[in-house]
Amino acid sequence: MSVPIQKVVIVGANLTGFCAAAYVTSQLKGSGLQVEIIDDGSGEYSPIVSTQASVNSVFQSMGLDLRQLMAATDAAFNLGQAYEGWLGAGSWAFNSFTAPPNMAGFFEFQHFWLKSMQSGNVGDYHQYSLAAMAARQGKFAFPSPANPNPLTQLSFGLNFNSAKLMAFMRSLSINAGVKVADGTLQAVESDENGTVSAVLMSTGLKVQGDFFIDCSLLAKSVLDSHFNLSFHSRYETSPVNRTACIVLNNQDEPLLPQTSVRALPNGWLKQCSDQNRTATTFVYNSNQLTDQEVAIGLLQHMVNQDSDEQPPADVVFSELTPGNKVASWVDNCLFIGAGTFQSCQLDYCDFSYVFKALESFVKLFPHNKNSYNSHEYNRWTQADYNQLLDYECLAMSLAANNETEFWISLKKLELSEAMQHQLALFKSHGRLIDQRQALIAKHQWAAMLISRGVIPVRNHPLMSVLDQADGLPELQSQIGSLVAGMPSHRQFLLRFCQQ
Amino acid sequence: MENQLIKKIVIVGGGSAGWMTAAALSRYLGTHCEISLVESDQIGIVGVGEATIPGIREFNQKLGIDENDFMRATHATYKLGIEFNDWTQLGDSYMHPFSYFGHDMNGVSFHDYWLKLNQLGDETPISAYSPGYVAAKQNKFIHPNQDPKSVLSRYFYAFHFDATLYGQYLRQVAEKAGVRRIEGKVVAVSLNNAGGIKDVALESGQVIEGELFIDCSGFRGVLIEQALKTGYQDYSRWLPCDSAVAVQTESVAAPTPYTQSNAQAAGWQWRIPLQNRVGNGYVFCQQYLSDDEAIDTLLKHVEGEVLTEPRVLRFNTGRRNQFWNKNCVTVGLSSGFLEPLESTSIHLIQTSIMKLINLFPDQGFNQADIDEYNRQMIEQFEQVKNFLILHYKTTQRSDTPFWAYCKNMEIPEALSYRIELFKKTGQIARCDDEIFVHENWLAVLLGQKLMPEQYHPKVDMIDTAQLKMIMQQMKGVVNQAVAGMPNHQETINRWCKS
Ligand SMILES: Cc1cc2nc3c(=O)[nH]c(=O)nc-3n(C[C@H](O)[C@H](O)[C@H](O)COP(=O)(O)OP(=O)(O)OC[C@H]3O[C@@H](n4cnc5c(N)ncnc54)[C@H](O)[C@@H]3O)c2cc1C
Repeated sequence: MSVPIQKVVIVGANLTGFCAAAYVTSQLKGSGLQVEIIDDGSGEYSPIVSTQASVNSVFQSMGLDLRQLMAATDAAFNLGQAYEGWLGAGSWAFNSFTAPPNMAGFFEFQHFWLKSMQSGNVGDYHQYSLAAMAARQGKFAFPSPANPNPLTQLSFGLNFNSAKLMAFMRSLSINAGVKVADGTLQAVESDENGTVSAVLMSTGLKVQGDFFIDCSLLAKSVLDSHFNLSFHSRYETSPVNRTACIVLNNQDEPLLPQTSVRALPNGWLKQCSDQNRTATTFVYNSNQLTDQEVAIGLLQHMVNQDSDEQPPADVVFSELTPGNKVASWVDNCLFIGAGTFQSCQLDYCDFSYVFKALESFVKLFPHNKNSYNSHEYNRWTQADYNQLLDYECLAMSLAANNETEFWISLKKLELSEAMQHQLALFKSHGRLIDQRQALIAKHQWAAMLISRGVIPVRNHPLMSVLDQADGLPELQSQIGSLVAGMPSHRQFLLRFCQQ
Repeated sequence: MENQLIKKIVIVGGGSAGWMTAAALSRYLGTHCEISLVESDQIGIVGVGEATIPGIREFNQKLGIDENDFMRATHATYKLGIEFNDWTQLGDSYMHPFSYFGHDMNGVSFHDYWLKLNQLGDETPISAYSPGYVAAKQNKFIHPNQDPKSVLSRYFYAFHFDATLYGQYLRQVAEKAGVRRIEGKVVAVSLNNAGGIKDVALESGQVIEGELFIDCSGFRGVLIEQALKTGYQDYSRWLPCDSAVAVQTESVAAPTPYTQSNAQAAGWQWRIPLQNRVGNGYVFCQQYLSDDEAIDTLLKHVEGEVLTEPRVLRFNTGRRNQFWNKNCVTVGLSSGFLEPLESTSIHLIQTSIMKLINLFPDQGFNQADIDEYNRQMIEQFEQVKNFLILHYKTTQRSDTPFWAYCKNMEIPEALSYRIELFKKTGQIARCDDEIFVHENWLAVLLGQKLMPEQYHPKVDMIDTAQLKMIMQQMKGVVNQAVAGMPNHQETINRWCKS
C-alpha cells in the first residue's frame, strides 16, 4: 500500500526554497508534516522580484497580513507594466493587472475604444485606465471604503526586496519548525523503482525524505541528473541570452508603482523598484554585444538619467535560457524555480510562477511516493509555461525597431499556430482567443497588442449598431480627477507600512 | 471607415434553433439588418427537446424574456437535475443535481471530506449535502436565494417545457423585433463565386438572397451539408444509440422538479414532466432492438393515458466538421446530434448563437473569426461527447449485449485520463469546459459508483470527530432549509401556472 508523505526535503535554501517551505508548512499546518531544507549554496536571484496580482491570494492563504509583509520586505505596489519606446522614442503604453471597466456586458473594452477612434476623438488606450494613469504619475491608493466606485478597485502585484523576502520566508519557515541543513548535494539514494529515498551531502550527512522539492537554480542539479530530466529550450538560438543588472538607491526619486520595459537599439531595459532600490536589467544577445560594451552602456544610461556621479554599484551578468523542463514533477520529486522555467524576461513577473506552482502542488498534494497527481500537475504547468512563452514570443516579434540587427532578428521569430491565429483575430476586428484557464487575461493581450501598434483594421460589426454612447470622455475625466486625488505611491507606502 | 455591416440574414428552419437564432440576432441587430426566416409547414419540426440545463435562463434574460410569462406560455415546470436509474446496476439510482455538494474547506473540495467519512463507514450519500438534490427528491422548489451565505443560494435550475410552444413564443419575440417569416420549402440552393451561398429558392419559385445564412433546417442540413458538403464526424462508436421513440402521456401526479433517465435493455427512457402532461421517450440502438420492441417497452413503462401515437425518430450521433463554412453557420440539429441524456441540445443552440454574436462577421467574412468559431464549437461538442460517454462506459451492467458493449468499448483518451485520475486521486481534471464543470463531473463520477482510492491528504488536518460534527451540521442546514421550502406545484401555482 501507499506510504503517506511525512517528510518533505527541499533542496536550495534560496528565495524559492524558503517560499516553498513557508507555503507548504502554512498549508499543511497541523498535519505533522516535517520539512527540511538543504542549503546547497545555490543562492542566486535577482535583487528585486515582482509578483503579479493573482499571487496576493497565495499570501492571503498563508495568513499573511499585507502590511506586515510589505513593511518587512520593503515591498512596493505594482499596477502593471509600462512599455517605453516600443512605438518610437518617447512612446509610452501600459499593461495593467486591472481589467478595464465593463462597458456593455457583452463587448470588450477595446471595441469601445476602437469605436471612438473610428470617429476620430479618442486618446491613447491607456488614458482610460486608472492604473496606467496612476502608475505614470507615481500615485497609488486603495479604494476608499466610503466611496466604493468600482473604477477605483485596482489590482496590484508587489515588488519585493528579494533578500528581505527570503529572510521573511525563512523566519516563517523556521517558526513553523522547518530544519535547515548545510552542505552540497553529492548523490541521490533511490529504491529499485527509482523513487528517491534520500540525498547524500558532501558533509557525509544523509537526509531522508518521502518527497523532494528541487529549488536549486542549477541548470543541472543532482536530482535532475537522477531523473535524466531535460530542459527544453524554447528557441534553437534564443534572441536574447544574457542579462546585466545594476541596483541603485531610489530614495530621491518618485517611486512608480509598476515594472517597466524600455526598448533600446540592442535590447531592452527593465526596471523594477522596491521601496528603496531600483533594479535595472538590460536584456540582450551576447553575440551582438560584449559584456564591456553593455556595462559601459548601462552605466552611461544610469548616469545620464539620474545624476552626474558614477553609480556606486556593480554590474551583475547572468545567462538566460528561455524554456522549461519537460516535466516538473517526476515520481516523488518536484522541480520549481528558475531551473525549471525561464522566460526571455520581457514581460511579466517570473517569480509569480513559483507561487503558482506551489499552489498547484498543494492542491494536488501527493498521497504517496508515486502519486498519480503528478500527471495532472504536469498538464497544468506545461500548459501555463507554453502559454507564457507563446505570449512573450508574440510580443517580441512585434518588434520596436526596424533598423538594428537585434530587432530584425526578433521580427523573424517563428510564431506558434495559436499565436498566428491570435494575431490574425486581433488585427482584423480586435478579437481575442477565448481561453478559460488563461494565466494572461484577455485585457492583457489587448493592451500588449495595442502597445505594439497592432490596431485592428475594423471593429466588431455589432458595435456600429449599438446606440449606447461609448462614455469614454466621461471615463477619462473621471480617471483624471481620481488620479488627482490620489497620494503619491511613496506617501501612501509610508503611511501604510507605518500604521 | 466604411460600414460593412451585413444587411441580409437568411435563417432556414423554424424549429427551436431557428427561432432562438432569429430572436437573439434581432435583439442585437435591431432594424439595422434584414432578417428572414424560412420554414416549411409541410416538413414541420422535430417537436421534441423539452428538458434544458440552467444556462437557458441566461439566454432568456439576454432576450429580455420575462420568466414567468414564458413558463406560463410553454406549460413549463422547474428542473433541479436529472435522475439516473438502473445505469450502474439494476436498482441503482443517483441524480445529477444542478447544485453544489456541501462546502469546500481549507482549499480542499468537499467531496474529499465526504470520502474520508465514507471510508470510515459512514454511509450518508454525498447527495444528502446537496440542497438541489434534497429539494428535488422531496418535490420541492423555490427560486434560489440571492444571499451567498444561504445554503439556498447553492443550487441552480432549468426548465421542462413544450418545445413547440417555446418555438412559437420565440417566434412572437422575433417577429415583434422585425424578423420576416416566409413559409415555404427550400428546393434549391445556389452558390456564389467564393463557394458560399448566394440564394435559396423556394418551391413557390421565390428566390431569397442573403449575405449570411444560418442553417437551422434540422437533421437535413439543407445548407451546410446538402449544399456545402461540409462533412460529418461520426460519434456512434462511443454513443451507439441511433433511434428514439417518443410519446406524450397524461399527468397522473404533480410534476417532479427533475427529469428522469431510466436505463433500459438497449438504451434509456426519458420522462419529462410539464404542467399539463408528461413527455416520454426511449432512446435506443437499432442494432440491439427493433422499433416494435422499443415501442412496447416504452408503453409498458409510462404512467397515465397515452396522448399521442408513438413516433420513431432516427439520428446519427456526431457533429459537422465545421460549424461555420464560408457564409453559412449551422445551429441546432443541422450542426450535429448528441443524445438528450444531459439535455444539452438546446444549450448548444444557445452557445452557438452567443458565439456567433461574439464573432459576428461583416461582409468581409474574416477567416480567423471563422476558425475561432469552429475551434470553440468543436471543443463544445467534444466536451459534451466525453461527458455523455462517461455515463455508458462506467456501467457495471452486462446483462444485455448493449450494456456489455458499452462497458467494454474503447473511449477517447481525454476521458480515460479523467476517469483514471479521479479513481486514483479523487481529483477532477482541470479543463476548459464551459458547460459541465467540477460539480457536474463529480455528480456523475460518484453517481456511477467510481470511488477514488484516496482523499486529499489535507483532509486529515481536521480531527475526525470534529469533521463528523461539521458534516452533520452541513447536512442539518440543508434539511432544515429544504423543510421550509414550498412544494414544486405550489411554486408553479404562485408564479407561472398556465
Ligand atoms: C429524441 C430526441 C430528444 C430530444 N430531447 C432533447 C432534450 O430533452 N433537451 C434538449 O435540449 N434537446 C433535445 N433534443 C434536441 C432538440 O429537439 C433540438 O435540438 C431542437 O428541437 C432544435 O431542433 P432544430 O430547430 O434544429 O430542428 P427542427 O425542429 O427539426 O427544425 C427544422 C426546421 O427546418 C425546417 N426545414 C427543414 N428543411 C427545410 C426546407 N428544405 N425548406 C424549408 N424549411 C425546412 C423545418 O420545417 C423546421 O422548421 C432532442 C432531440 C431528439 C431527436
